[in-house]
Amino acid sequence: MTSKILRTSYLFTNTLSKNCSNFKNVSGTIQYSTVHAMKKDDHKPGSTIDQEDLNKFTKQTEYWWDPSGPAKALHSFNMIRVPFVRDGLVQCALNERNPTPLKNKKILDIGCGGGILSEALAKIGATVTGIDANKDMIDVAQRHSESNTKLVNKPNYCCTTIEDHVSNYRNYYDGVVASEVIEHVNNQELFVKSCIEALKPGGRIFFTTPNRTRMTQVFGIWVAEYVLNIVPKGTHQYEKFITPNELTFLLERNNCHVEVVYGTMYNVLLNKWDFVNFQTFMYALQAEKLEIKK
Amino acid sequence: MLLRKSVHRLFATTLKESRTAHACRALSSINEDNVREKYDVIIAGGGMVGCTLACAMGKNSLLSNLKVLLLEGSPNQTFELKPEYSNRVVALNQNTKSLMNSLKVWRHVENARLQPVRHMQVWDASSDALISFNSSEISDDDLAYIVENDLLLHAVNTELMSSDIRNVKIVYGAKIAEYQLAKSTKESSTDNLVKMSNGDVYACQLLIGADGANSAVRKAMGVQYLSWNYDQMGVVATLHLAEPIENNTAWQRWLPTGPVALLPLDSTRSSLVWSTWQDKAKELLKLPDELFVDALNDALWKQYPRSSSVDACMSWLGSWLKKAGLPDGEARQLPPSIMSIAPNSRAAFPLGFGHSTRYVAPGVALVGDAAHRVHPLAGQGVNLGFGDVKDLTTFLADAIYTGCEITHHSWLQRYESSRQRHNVPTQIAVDALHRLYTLDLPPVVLARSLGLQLTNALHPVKAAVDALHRLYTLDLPPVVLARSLGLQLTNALHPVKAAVDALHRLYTLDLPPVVLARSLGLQLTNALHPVKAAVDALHRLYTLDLPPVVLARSLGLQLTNALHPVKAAVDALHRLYTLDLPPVVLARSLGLQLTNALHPVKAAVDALHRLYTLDLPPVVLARSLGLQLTNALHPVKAAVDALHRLYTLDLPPVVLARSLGLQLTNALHPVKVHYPSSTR
Ligand SMILES: Cc1cc2nc3c(=O)[nH]c(=O)nc-3n(C[C@H](O)[C@H](O)[C@H](O)COP(=O)(O)OP(=O)(O)OC[C@H]3O[C@@H](n4cnc5c(N)ncnc54)[C@H](O)[C@@H]3O)c2cc1C
Repeated sequence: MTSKILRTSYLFTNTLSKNCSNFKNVSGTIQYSTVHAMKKDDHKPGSTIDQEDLNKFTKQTEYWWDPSGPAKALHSFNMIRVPFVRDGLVQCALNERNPTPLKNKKILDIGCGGGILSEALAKIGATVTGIDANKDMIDVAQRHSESNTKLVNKPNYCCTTIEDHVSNYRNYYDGVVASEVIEHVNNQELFVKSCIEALKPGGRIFFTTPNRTRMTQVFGIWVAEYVLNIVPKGTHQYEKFITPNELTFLLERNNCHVEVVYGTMYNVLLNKWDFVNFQTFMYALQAEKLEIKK
Repeated sequence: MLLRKSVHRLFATTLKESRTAHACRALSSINEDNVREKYDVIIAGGGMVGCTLACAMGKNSLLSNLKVLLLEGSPNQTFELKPEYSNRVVALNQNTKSLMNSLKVWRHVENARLQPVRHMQVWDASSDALISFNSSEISDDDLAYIVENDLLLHAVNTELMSSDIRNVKIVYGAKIAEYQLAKSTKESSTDNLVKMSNGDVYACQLLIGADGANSAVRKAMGVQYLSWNYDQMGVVATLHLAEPIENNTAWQRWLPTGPVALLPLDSTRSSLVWSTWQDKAKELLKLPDELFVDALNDALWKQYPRSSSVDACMSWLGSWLKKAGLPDGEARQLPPSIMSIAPNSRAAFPLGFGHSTRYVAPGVALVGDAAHRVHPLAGQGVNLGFGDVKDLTTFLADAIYTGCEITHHSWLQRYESSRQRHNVPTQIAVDALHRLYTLDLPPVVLARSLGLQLTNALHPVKAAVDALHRLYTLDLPPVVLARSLGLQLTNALHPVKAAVDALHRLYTLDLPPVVLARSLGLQLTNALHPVKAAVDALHRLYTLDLPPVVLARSLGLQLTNALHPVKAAVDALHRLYTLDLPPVVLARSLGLQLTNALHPVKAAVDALHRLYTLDLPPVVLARSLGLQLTNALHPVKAAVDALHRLYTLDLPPVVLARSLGLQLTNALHPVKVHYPSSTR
């Protein structure tokens, strides 16, 4: 029974990835297959299940989905980014709140990785589409979402890039989320433009990303990657970091109005995220796509 | 949507079942076949706090989808408003009123009966010191409301039974046999199981202990419970006044034996809470009604023996205040005379202090007296509990609104720290007040009287302080009193205050360096404030489960010792007193000097322990005068202690040590030379 499910999903994800791989890196925009240490394998679609592959998925799922494992910072990050997205999309009086505030909201999670944020948003009612250019990650996300019995409202995952995805989903989403992604892309201008195209007029776009400051260079890259080893080496390149001003500029050139920029801060000792009033390290930005084209 | 939910539930249930089954098999004490029903939340204990929590969960739009079971041990009592007031009443503050208003409970209380308190007068029997509060000085609102316990409970239950609430089931006469608490696993946790004495088993995600000061849930959690008895009892009764008055003043007189308080009920009746030593309380219960009334009037009016120097100082202060045009406390109101007491209304309740170092565990939370117990002198007890209810429902609702489980540790921990930040300082302040006022030494009486009088005189200051306090916590006047007192004199007198302040500061600041310091533990704290360090060490030792502490713990004994001086000291003490090897006995007899040399940390703990367990007048004095003096006295006491030990023990090794001669001791320790020669 279980093996059958596994097999079906395996086949499914493989087919998906095969379709998507045609698009992969066509424009060379996205390279966010970063944080995990696993090597990419080429899976041959076939009728037998490769035990090694299965083990690998189990390992990867553990790697991403253990809330106190290597990806714990991403899990605790949900404690602030879920409210950030939620409150950016709906404002609800205290006594009228319900457990699914994002019901009927279509959200695109770009660079969804293992689906940590996608599932959290789906849990509060959103119709989530998670895309990632890395097929392995999409597999992990798909697998976890299927096995999560507490999650009724499942996200849709697709291995693709935003530029390709948007060709079918123009002006479609109520919310577009790019959490810890823009610092990994090559052509940020095209990336931002594509994100906004996917958004309905009046919809909101959310970014979370490190700022480009000496502090992030020293603590975010040198200390975190080389001294503390809490982030795999080579995850971040300083030159790709974008400042709030630069991002605002890109957004406003694309007919968006930046509504809020909060500083964010991660406390390594407590594994806790907070909004802070300085943006030296990281920030979260929310913008609205305006109705009328300039 | 509905279908989706039920499907969800079905899945969740089967998943939970399989896990529970596993846990049960291991222990085999609770059999999963008996699991009769599964709930999201089980509230153990349907007192005022437990029922209010159930009501709040039923009314919160985010929590009203949760299946809640309330288990109450006593049978369902039908309530009727009798002409005579119940002897159990509570003073409720504005926070409680607004909570009850939001739950639509307050209207039921208002429709029945309650007495607003608009003035409060507190005065010291050992001097003329007095402080008074009026509603208008603090805000236009009433200071407090006096409500009968059973009426309040009835009002809450009326709402709980109303058609607004559909998700709460109540079982009265519930006999709980045993709890089997959840074990947290990586991604989720197992269920809590509640076994009833008839064999039924209920399962739940979140178990809430609202079962009072003797909480069985707390015991099942296995948390540290810091508690002590005051050796006092609160004698309660319903009083009939000699004549009808506009009865909206709460009176409290501090006798050397404890506070006696009159809480207004209506124009001719008041409720009594008389805290006094246990034996005295038992005597009071046995007195015939007329003699009891006499004793009470005595307690309210009698002149207690005074220290003439205190009186002289107070009258000097009075004249000085008069010259400055400030109130000198002469214009005092007089408390009402008591004519009789309502028949059979006398009862007494033991009073104690209790602090559960953890309010939460995986899938479990404590509220109300289960988590904290205070002396009723400031009328705080149940108000703190209602504060717990408000915060817990807010955090649980927030967890759901963010898409997390109600048992998510992040929110439970937020509940715990938010409540402990508020409750612990309040509890310690109340405890400090109690200690301050049960002392009858002239310097203490003088200090507190001067403080009280000055505080009363400095109305603008008081008002400002009150405003500030209200702004931040919106609290009950007695605590305002405690705090105003605190500002003026507790500071000077009571080291606990310093600790409270430090604790409060420590836990309310969220600046990264403070948070870091807090997490890194004692090292920094130590450097900042020695008194705080001691209290903090205790607190921290038992409350924190922060990663750095856990890390430190796992880094091994060395570090643990460094971080947890209390434990080390206790260990050392234990070792010292359980070994009977002659050299150890000798060391023991040599007293603290040697021990000190062996373990410097011990000294601190020992001082604390000694400070709070000895009741010799000089120690009590030292205690109140602060640690400075104690520190100064400490070496002397240690030496006396060692001598005492040396000469009262008749164990062979001790005798041997003794007969090895004072010479050796003298040779070993120059300090001791002094004592044998002086006692000879
Ligand atoms: C003399 C006196 C005066 C006071 N005055 C004030 C005041 O003026 N203002 C104020 O705020 N506070 C006052 N207090 C304190 C206040 O009474 C308590 O804080 C309050 O009652 C605590 O409520 P609770 O619901 O937490 O606990 P409790 O009232 O103790 O309720 C616990 C409930 O749990 C039930 N229970 C316990 N164990 C089990 C079990 N195993 N199974 C099933 N059910 C169980 C019990 O039947 C009970 O109903 C005073 C206290 C005293 C003694």
